[in-house]
This record gives sequence, structure tokens and C-alpha cells, in this order.
Amino acid sequence: MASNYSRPGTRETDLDLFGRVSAGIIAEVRRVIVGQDEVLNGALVGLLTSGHVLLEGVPGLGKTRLVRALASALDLAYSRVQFTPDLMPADITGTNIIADDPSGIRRFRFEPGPVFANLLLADEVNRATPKTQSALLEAMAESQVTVANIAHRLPEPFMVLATQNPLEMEGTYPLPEAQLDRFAYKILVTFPTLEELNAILDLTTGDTSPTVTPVASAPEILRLQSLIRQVPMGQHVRDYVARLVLGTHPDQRDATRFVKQYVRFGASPRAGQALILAGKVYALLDGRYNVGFEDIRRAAHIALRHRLLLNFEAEADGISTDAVIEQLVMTLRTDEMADRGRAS
Amino acid sequence: MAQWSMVAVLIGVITARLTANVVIGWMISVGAIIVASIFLGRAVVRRVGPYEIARRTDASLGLHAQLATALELTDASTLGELAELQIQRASRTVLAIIPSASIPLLPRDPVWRRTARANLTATTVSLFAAVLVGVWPSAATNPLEDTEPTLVLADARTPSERPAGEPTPLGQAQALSPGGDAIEARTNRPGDTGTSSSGLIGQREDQALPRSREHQGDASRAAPDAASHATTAAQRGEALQKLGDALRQAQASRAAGESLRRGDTERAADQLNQLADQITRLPPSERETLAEAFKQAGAQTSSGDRQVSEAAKEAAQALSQYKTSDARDAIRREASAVRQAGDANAAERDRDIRAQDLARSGQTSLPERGDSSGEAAGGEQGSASGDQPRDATGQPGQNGQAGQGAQGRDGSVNEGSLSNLEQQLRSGGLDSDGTGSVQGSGAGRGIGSTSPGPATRLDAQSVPVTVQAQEGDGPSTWRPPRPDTPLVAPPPAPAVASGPASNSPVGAGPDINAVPREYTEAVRQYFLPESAPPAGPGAAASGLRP
Repeated sequence: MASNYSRPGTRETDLDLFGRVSAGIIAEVRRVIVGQDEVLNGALVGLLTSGHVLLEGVPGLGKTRLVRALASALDLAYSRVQFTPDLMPADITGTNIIADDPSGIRRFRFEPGPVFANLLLADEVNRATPKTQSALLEAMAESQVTVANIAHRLPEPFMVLATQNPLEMEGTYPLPEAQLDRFAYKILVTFPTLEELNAILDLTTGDTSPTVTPVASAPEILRLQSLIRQVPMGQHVRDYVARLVLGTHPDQRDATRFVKQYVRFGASPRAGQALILAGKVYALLDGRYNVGFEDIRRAAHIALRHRLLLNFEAEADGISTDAVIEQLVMTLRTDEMADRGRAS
Repeated sequence: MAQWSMVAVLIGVITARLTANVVIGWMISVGAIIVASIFLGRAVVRRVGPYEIARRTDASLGLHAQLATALELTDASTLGELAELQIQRASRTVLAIIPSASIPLLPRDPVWRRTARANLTATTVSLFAAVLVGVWPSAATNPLEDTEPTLVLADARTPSERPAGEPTPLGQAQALSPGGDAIEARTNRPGDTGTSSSGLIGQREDQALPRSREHQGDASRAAPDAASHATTAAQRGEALQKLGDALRQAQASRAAGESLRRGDTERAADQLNQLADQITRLPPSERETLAEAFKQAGAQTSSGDRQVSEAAKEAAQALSQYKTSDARDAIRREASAVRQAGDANAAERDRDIRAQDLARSGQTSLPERGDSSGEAAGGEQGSASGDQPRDATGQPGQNGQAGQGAQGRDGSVNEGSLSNLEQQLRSGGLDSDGTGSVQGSGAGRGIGSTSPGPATRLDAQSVPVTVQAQEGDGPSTWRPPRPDTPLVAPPPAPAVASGPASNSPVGAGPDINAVPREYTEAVRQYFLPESAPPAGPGAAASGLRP
């Protein structure tokens, strides 16, 4: 697929495709979702970077509606799993059942679960037990599930959009760090403003319901995912990303005092990957062909906030991960020479 | 590295100054010059590469790392489609750049000037250290040793004799109040009461002078204190205004800043305390703004009110470091400092007003004042001693003849009692209207002595007392019960009156375990229940626990 882009004359087509699809997705989703610009941009970033997204917000803010609208705008296979405490891993991945083959012999046949879709909505993912949550680990990391020692590939593109409620913690199972790290981005769904709420009420209480028209297919999404990875990035910007990730670790020499005081564990290398890919999407959305420091700063919150583990002192002082990230981004210098050896 | 070297040089300079060692000073001076030369040389020979130029151009022109990325892409062996587009766009950008707007590309200044500017901090610090050490021998002496002591004497002229614009006597009295001896020397004499103002001053001027000279040392010591006292009030007010201006820059502290601007320090202190309570709710950006405001306040008020300045600096530091609890404490200290500064300014303002009122009326006598603390005491004293003749010094007026002190109504004390003025000024003083407390009526009535006598500072005299006593055994060997003393028989208890039990002192007798007789049985039953009679209706009715 990537080889197609190297042919002369096709680059504008790819860029045009990016512009058409990105603008079309936003426009179509906008027909059913009011406001939530950052949420929509974050979901688009996750889609174009093949990264899974965790949506966190109180009930009723339109998380599920957003995912359904996104799936409708993309003409992708969509499935939804409502996570409950009695949900079993086989309910997600699928299982082998005994069925008669055409010759009349009874054999085990794999019945795919809802995970075999392009867009999987894991609604209230923290309500399922850790065992069931772990069933998603392999699917999210390797795009495959293994049942009875047989690995089954998931369709491409594959993206998990999970939702969770930050308030109702009783009867829930907080996602383990390993699974949180599988989510490339965590997006906070905030409460709408007065104007947005008015628009929502007007949109949802009338006798007409807007319909979403598909603007992109699965192959086009794959082409765009490949295009995103071609966005060039300077070494000094990459060095900035590395220093940003290392700066979240309190045991690092260059960590700020704020991080040393409030952070227990820092971000993983996956955070760096998510930062760079999101920065590339932001750069293209901004009409540029290279990643700048501003793109990385813009992606810092959604890529890092669920990967930082704060200590008790931060909890006592009311410090959030967003505050830590904000302070880190503000204090980390960008003008340090990444390639001092080539300075001359 | 350069900054640390400069810090080391500065520490050396300060050490040299403190130890007063000229050799060390010159060594440090030479070292500073060498360090400055080294850094200047390094700056000159340092080369700026194209990548650094590209990055700085991107940063200065806001090009989103466009040029630096394109420069790196030109070194790549294979280029993607987007990379080619990026290079083309960067090339167009470079052509559109105005060289004079791009600082690092083609600067008009020569190299040495650019390098010197780039290393301006290191060069300046080194030269400053060198100059500081160079003037070391002349500055090594203590400037305080050569300072002539300043003698400030009270002006004996009346307000009518004083030219317009000259400070009032009370102003001087206020200024000299820390020492206070000049005022005492010319005013605090018995027999001065009952005379006119001019006569009083004219009569006592020659007498006051020797005593003033006698206390020149005290006055000279008082002069710097008085000066600092006078300047502190103005500086304190200015510091509060600057603090208000700085706090108004942040949204969270704007209300406190407005209150300070209006001079309402009490409200400002309350609002700062509220801010301290809500410090955890501030978003990071607002914290930064608030820290910057406090930092600016700390810098601007350092010459005014040290307490306000230090609290502001601590708050700024704690906020910038996201130390919430420290920031909360520092802001509370700032609120306390603001409140204290406001109270101090109000007290001094009150004193000034009273002094001006007194000077305007031309009195040498002072209305007895009653402030919140002294009002009741003065009034009670006045009423208690209302019929007792007193002279100016407060002595019983047995030897007085002509002291009139007739202004006792409305709380006035004897005329000429400037020593009382001094005391009142020190204690914070006079009422704004100068009328004093009506409870002080009668104080000062009486006849004072007209005979000049030695000045007494305090209105008290010692009286020898003769006690008739005989050495011998005491009437009792009883001691209050202590753990380490053996038990002795207590003295017979006084007969308890047949009144209600509440009349008898509880716990005041010699035996702390003494129980009133009518409660003895109830107490015994309480502590010894096995010997208690069976609970019945009578016990319940008595209200005692079984």
C-alpha cells in the first residue's frame, strides 16, 4: 500500500484524500455531536494512527453516540460490547462451538466474537472483571486473538474505543496499568457549555434525527494511516519527545522537582510513539508537512495523562496528571541541541 | 558551567569582603578577569552550525521547526513524498525570509559584538566582580565608624513662633519618642503646671538645656531610630500599594489587590486568607500567574516592608514549585503581614492627627486620652482620685500651690504634663478629637507646686516603710500539703457558716479533699457502693447516683 504513494502524481491525491476524509468525518460527526472539539480531534487522531482510545466522562455526555457516529461516518464494521461484571472473555473474543460440517461430521468451529470488527466500542470497560478486560490485551496490542491455540487475525483497521465513568467507582475494576498503556490516547469528555447544551437539547428533542453519511472506507483509512507515518519529523523534535517521556520519570536526572515530588511511575515508550503519531496528525490537520514542537505539546495530554502514576502526596495536594503534564511541558526546553556533534 | 563559575567568583568576592583580606580580594579579582577572558574567548571561537541557525530561525520566526526539519531531510538518502513537499515548502520559506528579521542568519553586528552580547551575563558578572574587588581597600572600612552622630533636639518654640511648614513639636516629639529624653528634659518638671504655654517654655528653656545635653547620647541614638521610624511609615504604605498593584495582575488575587489599592488592609488580609484556603483549586496557569504576581510583589516591596516582601517571595516560590501547603502558609503569612502593616499605619496616622490637633490648639497641656486599653483604666483612676489633689507629676498635691489643672473635665489632665504625652504617644495614643474619655473627669484637679524642683520622669515617689517585727518561733508549723512533706495535723478548719453550701469556699481550704458536711454521705456512697443503702425512692429523689 505504501508503495503506491511513491508513484509520481499520487501524493496530491493522498493529501487530498486526507483533507477530504478528515474534513468529512468531522462534518458528519458534527451533525449528531455538538461541541467536544478536542474529543472529536482525539478520536480522529486515534483512528488515523491506529491507536486505541479511552474516553472518560460522566454518563450522558455522548461518548457512545460519538463512537457510533464515527463508525457510521467511516462505513466500517462496528460492534459494541457492554461490559458487565459477568461478562466472560469468550463473550468478546469468540469461542469454538460444535457444528456439523458439510460432510455431516461434527467438528469444532470458531465462532468470532464482537471483537472481530473495525470499530469496537467497549462501553464502561471498567465494569468487567480483570480477566475479561485482559481478553482485550492481545487484540489491542497485536490485532489478533488466540482461541484454543489458534490465532485469529482481526480485520484492519482495528480500533477499540472504550468508555469509562470516573465517578461511579463502586462495583468497578480499574483498568490495570498494562491495559491502560495499550490505549494510545485517553480523552476526557467534558461537560458542554451553555450554548452547546442548548444545541444538544434542540438537536435531540425534535422530530427529526440527523443521519450520518459514510465518507471513507476501510481501505482509505489504511491509506491515510500509512500517509501519517510518512510525515517527516526533525531529530530535534524527536529528541524533545524522548526528553518529554523521560522527564515523566522521577528517578531520571533531568526530571523536574515537580515530577520528583508527585509522580510515582512515568510514561512508557509507547507514550513516545503515541506522541509522535499524534503530532503527525496534528501537523497534517494544520496543513504542514512536518511535526513541530507545538504539535507534540498539543498531543502531550491525551498521550500521557493515563500513563503517569501519581503518588499519595499528589493525591493529598489535589494534583492531577494534567497539572503534572502541563508543568512538564512548560518547563521542558526545546532549544537543547539534539545533535551537538553536527552543530558545525 | 559559566553560570556556576560566576557564582563561585561572586561567593569569593563576598568572602573576601567579609574576611577583610585584601590579598584574597586581589586574587579573586585576577581570577574573575581570567574567567571573563576565558568565556569571552570561548564565545569568539565558537561556531554556529547550520542546524543551530535553522532551529533558531524556526524559533524566532515561529516556523514550527520547518527549516531545521527540511535541513535534516536534505541529508537523508531516500525521501518520501511528504519529505519532498516539506523541502520545497522550506525552500520557499527561506526565500521569503527577510535577512534582517532573522537574527542568526546575517546579523549586521560584527562577530565580537554578537558574541559579547551572547555572553553578556558572564561578562557582566565577571567585570562586576573585578570592579567590586578593585575598590576593595577603600570600601573595607566600616562606614558606620566615620559617621558623625546626629543630635536631634526638641524645639522649644511654640507653634506660633515656628515658621510655616516646619514640623510641629509633636512631630518632633513623635520622632524622638523612642528616646524621649529631649521631651522629658524640657517638660517634665514639677511646678510647671498652671502656667501659660509661652511662659512655660520660656521659663524652662535654660533649665531644659543642660538636661538635654546630658542626654545627648540618648538623643543621638534615638535619631536614626526616629528617622527609620518616619521613613518606615511611608515605605510601608508604598509597599502595600505596590503589593496591591502586583496582586491585581492575577485573577485569583485581584480582589485583594483592589482592597489594598483602596487602603483596606483588613479586607485585603481576609481575601488573602480566602485565597490561601482555595489555593488547591487554582488551575496550573492561574498558579503561574499568581506566582508571578507574588514574585513581582516580593521584588517591589523589598525596600518597603520586609515582612510583606519575604512572605510574597515565599509564596511565589512555593506556588512556582507547586508546593501547595507551603504556598498556603506563605499566603497566610502575607495576609498577616498586610494586616500588621495596616494596623501600624493606622496607629501612626492616628498619632499624627492628634499631634496636629494639639499643635493647632497651641496647648502645652494634653487632653487625657482614652484608647481602647487605657480608657477604662484612666477613667477609673480619674474617678477614684478625683478628689485627691495632684500636681503635674502626679504626686499628691500636698505641697502644691498654684497648679490649676482645671481642664480635668472631659478628661484633661494637668497642663504641662508633657511627660504624659510622651507616655501616651508611646502607647499609641490620643483620640482623634483630643477630648479623651469623659470617665477621666476629676483627674488632675488639685493644686500643684510652683516651686521648681528636680525633674522626675515617673509620677511616683518612694516612701520608706518601717515594719515592727520580732524574731521568734512562728505561731504554726503547718505547711501546705506537698508530696514530699510529711503529713502534719492541719489547722482547725474555720467554722462553716450555717448558710447554703455555695457560700463555703470550695477547694480553697487547707484540705483539698474537704467535702462539705452535707455531701459527705453521698460522696461516701458514690465511692463505696457496697456500703450504700439499697436504692429507693429517696435516693432517686435526691438526684445522687447510686
